[in-house]
Amino acid sequence: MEFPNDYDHYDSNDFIADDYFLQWVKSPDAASEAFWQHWIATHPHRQEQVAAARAFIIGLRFNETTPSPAAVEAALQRNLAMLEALPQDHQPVVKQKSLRKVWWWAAAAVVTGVMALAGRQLWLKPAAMIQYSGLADGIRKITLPDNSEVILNANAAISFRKDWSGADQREVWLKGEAFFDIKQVKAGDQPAQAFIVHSGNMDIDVLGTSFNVKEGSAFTNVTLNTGKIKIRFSKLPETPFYLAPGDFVRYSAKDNKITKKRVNADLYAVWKEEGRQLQNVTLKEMAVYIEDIYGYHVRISNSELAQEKLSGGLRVKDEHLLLETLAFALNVQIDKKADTLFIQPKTKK
Amino acid sequence: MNTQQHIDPAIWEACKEGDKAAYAHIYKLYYPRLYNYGCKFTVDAALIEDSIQEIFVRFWTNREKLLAVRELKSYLFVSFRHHLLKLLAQYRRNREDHILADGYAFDLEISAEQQRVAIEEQLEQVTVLNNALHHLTQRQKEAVFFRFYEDMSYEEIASILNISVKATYKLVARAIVMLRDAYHNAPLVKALVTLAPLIAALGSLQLSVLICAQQLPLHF
Repeated sequence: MEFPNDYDHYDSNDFIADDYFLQWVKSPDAASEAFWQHWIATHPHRQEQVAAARAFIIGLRFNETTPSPAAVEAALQRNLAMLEALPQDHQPVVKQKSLRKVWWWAAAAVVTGVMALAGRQLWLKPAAMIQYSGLADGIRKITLPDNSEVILNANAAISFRKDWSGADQREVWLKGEAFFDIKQVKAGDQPAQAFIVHSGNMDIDVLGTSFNVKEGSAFTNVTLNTGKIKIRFSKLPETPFYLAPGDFVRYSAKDNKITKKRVNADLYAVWKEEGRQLQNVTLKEMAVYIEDIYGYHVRISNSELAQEKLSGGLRVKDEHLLLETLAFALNVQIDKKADTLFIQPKTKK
Repeated sequence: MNTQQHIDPAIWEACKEGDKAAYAHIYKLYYPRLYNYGCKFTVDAALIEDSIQEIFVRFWTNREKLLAVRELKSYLFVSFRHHLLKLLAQYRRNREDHILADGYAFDLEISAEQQRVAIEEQLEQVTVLNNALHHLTQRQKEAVFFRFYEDMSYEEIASILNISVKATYKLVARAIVMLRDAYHNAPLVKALVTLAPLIAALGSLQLSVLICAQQLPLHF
């Protein structure tokens, strides 16, 4: 800010147009305050001009349309989801080289995670990209360019290139949870075109058939139902993970940690068909599922009870309903204490 | 009014490095301001939001190429203005609206509510000032908005309106003269207060001046 100007010959219009004067009127600080008070005191004959200029500036209060903080926050979340789905953000630099080394036969994989941000909107992308967003509530079926099918869970979003012909691999970028039914594409004697799911922290290589992906900012969980997949973590490019059916892998972005265990993989894909029939799921498997999905610790009072099996339609969307179903079906009592669920046989009254 | 709204250079640097929290900070600071600015062009809130989202995505992807933090504000306004006007032009063409002199309308008004005006004479003043505002060109109104609402420098306004700094000075100066003439010529306004108490107040605390200037209807 250039100051002080030669203000001696300023009229009120000049003051109004002056940077330093405007700053003093609108956001005075110690320096401008001292300067202008001194100037006014030493130029008493200009006081009228100064007062007029001040009054004019203060009087200019324009109509405002300001969104609420909540609206700004919501817009920000939509915008962050848009950034997340930008293809460049998900393409690890090393990917192209390492990809073709190994081909993996894959079948049904389930990848689950915690979804933090969700984009509801379709947005402008580079011309060749398509993006689909899941519904706010409920599932949505999408057909990919190779006729593979994707079921998007609520609030998930997937983007991919419009045209897959000529590409040496099929690639999709995912936010949130989705179930894939991948067609095996073969051209003559050529091996099938690779299929890659890019999610926040990892890439999943698949060949043919179906799997389920749910990624999130805090955790990304991968569960394989049948077949075989390979996971490449963007932060750990040299340690790919190979999953067999029933394997569960959790990647925690916060501490860059990978956990692997065995689960009932059917459970992790159950969301895509509400009320889906499950066969012989043990309470222990349910407990592990509840821990992974709802973040509780689950304690089962005895090992016999943990091996109790249940079959039938299961609704997993609603935590409360799920626990109620469990309690009723197995005749158990479930108590919630802080973040721990205690499951024990129902006490007879 | 936006007086305290400046981006810390450290936040800008962090954003450039890819820090989403820093980006979110900038977004939250500018979203309401761009939104408010956009409302002067159209009542179509969805169009305004789409434009803001789009230019912020571009801002993110191009952030490494952007220069100093002091250019950030005019960058965001100029890209938003460009994008929104483009969309509006497309819409208008489709709807065969009448062509506006400047190619767009900038709906700037003095708000009686913002002033908490209760006295009849002051309401008259607002009306007079608004009539004068309507006689300004769209560009003049925009320049006045940037100058007195967004507190922008002439250089920033020049870069947004894509005119020279000299032309910006002229544009603003002419608008000030027109608006102040309206003040002078307002026939219904009576000089209720002499300037004496104001002048006395100016000599004392700045705060009291501010209160004085806001409360007393001043006529010159």
